[in-house]
Amino acid sequence: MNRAFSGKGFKVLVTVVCLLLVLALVTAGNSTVGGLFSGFILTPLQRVAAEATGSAGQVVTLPKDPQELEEENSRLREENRRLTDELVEYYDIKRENEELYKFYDIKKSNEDFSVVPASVIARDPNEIFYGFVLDAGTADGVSPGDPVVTDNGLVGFVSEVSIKTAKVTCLLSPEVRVGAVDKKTGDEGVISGSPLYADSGSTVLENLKERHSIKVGDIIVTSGYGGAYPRNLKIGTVSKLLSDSYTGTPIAVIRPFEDARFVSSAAIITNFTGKGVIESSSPELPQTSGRSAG
Amino acid sequence: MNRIHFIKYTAFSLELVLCFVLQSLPGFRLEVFGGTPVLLLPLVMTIAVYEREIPAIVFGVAGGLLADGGYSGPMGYYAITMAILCYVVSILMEQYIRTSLLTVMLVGTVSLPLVMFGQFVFFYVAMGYGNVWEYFFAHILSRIVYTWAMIPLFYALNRFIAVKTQQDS
Repeated sequence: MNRAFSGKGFKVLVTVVCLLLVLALVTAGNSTVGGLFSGFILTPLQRVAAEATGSAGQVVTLPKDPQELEEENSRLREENRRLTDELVEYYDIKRENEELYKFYDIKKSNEDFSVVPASVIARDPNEIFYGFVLDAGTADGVSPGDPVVTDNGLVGFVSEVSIKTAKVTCLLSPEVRVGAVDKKTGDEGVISGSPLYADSGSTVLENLKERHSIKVGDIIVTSGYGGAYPRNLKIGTVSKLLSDSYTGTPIAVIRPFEDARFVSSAAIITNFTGKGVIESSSPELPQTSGRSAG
Repeated sequence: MNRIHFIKYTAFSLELVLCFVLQSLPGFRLEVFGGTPVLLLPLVMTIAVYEREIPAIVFGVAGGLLADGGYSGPMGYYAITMAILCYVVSILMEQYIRTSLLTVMLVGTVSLPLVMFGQFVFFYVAMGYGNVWEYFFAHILSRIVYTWAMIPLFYALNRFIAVKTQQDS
């Protein structure tokens, strides 16, 4: 055992270990020595071998010292954060652009409309008729009673408004009273929501004449009578023809073109030709505690 | 150094270079259960079996530097541990233990895990990385076993070189 700790070999070992410790200490804080060793001896070996096996493109990267890696890591993290922010902003702008384009179409086809685009910012879970809150208010020229539309058609009306927000009551709510007309037959009625159909996303056309000609599949639009809604705003199609279970009068179940349950953005029509003008030919529409028929 | 020694050391050196290239070649992964072997470790250990202390240390350092160069981080860990390993193996085999595959495997069973676990402790645990033990069981453990399993191959090869050159001399 003596020879193991006193021989020439042991002295060589101790010397070598000391030298290597110095090398380790030097390369721990500075990659130059290790980099030189790798760069001049190891990497060429690896590169030649990698090229020989046809995988030069995958050659192992040069070892980096921890400080360099840390700096690179933090730089990449910062860049990643910046790019993520930009991406989020890009998606916001893209979505906003798409929405504005939809409303541009509405505006283009109805030049008399003053339109305020807005996004849905809240939905009250207690609101069983799927009302929602838009991020536009009196500051944007919105006032109570203004119709709310999407590119698919009428959604509802502004029932409450604050400086920056507007609460929308949608077509599924019984509070809504919208004068409507069958585009094909000219039969008139009033759109009003019903608890029976709200969950399925449908509303009801009531106050129909006993002898109407409405058929399933007919398109229903706003009549414009009463001055609350513009004429010819698309509402939906007739999906069923029934009789009211209480009064026995005919009603039509309407499937709105826009499903108010899933609206994410909408436009508020703050002004249009004929707003507030009650036409003499308007049908006898009952006044309700909610919205007067348009 | 006579011609026989020169041939022997050249053969060992070529083995070192070849193993280094093989273990670091990207298109030639010898991966088994998530682990890749450190070929240089059993190689220098089995070289030391047939060499006296100083040549054993030299090959230990050379193999260690190559192994260090293949990893990121400060150089020296493998060079130091492999120099010590080769020295100890050389002394043991020369003075205390009869050289055979079994005894070399037994020495490797103790020494290789020590060296490789030490590397794991220095370069993973001490660096404060997360999930180190998951990494250990997923990669390091299989690497240790895989490296250890390479001992017979290198033992046979280096025994052949050592015996052949001894006969010639």
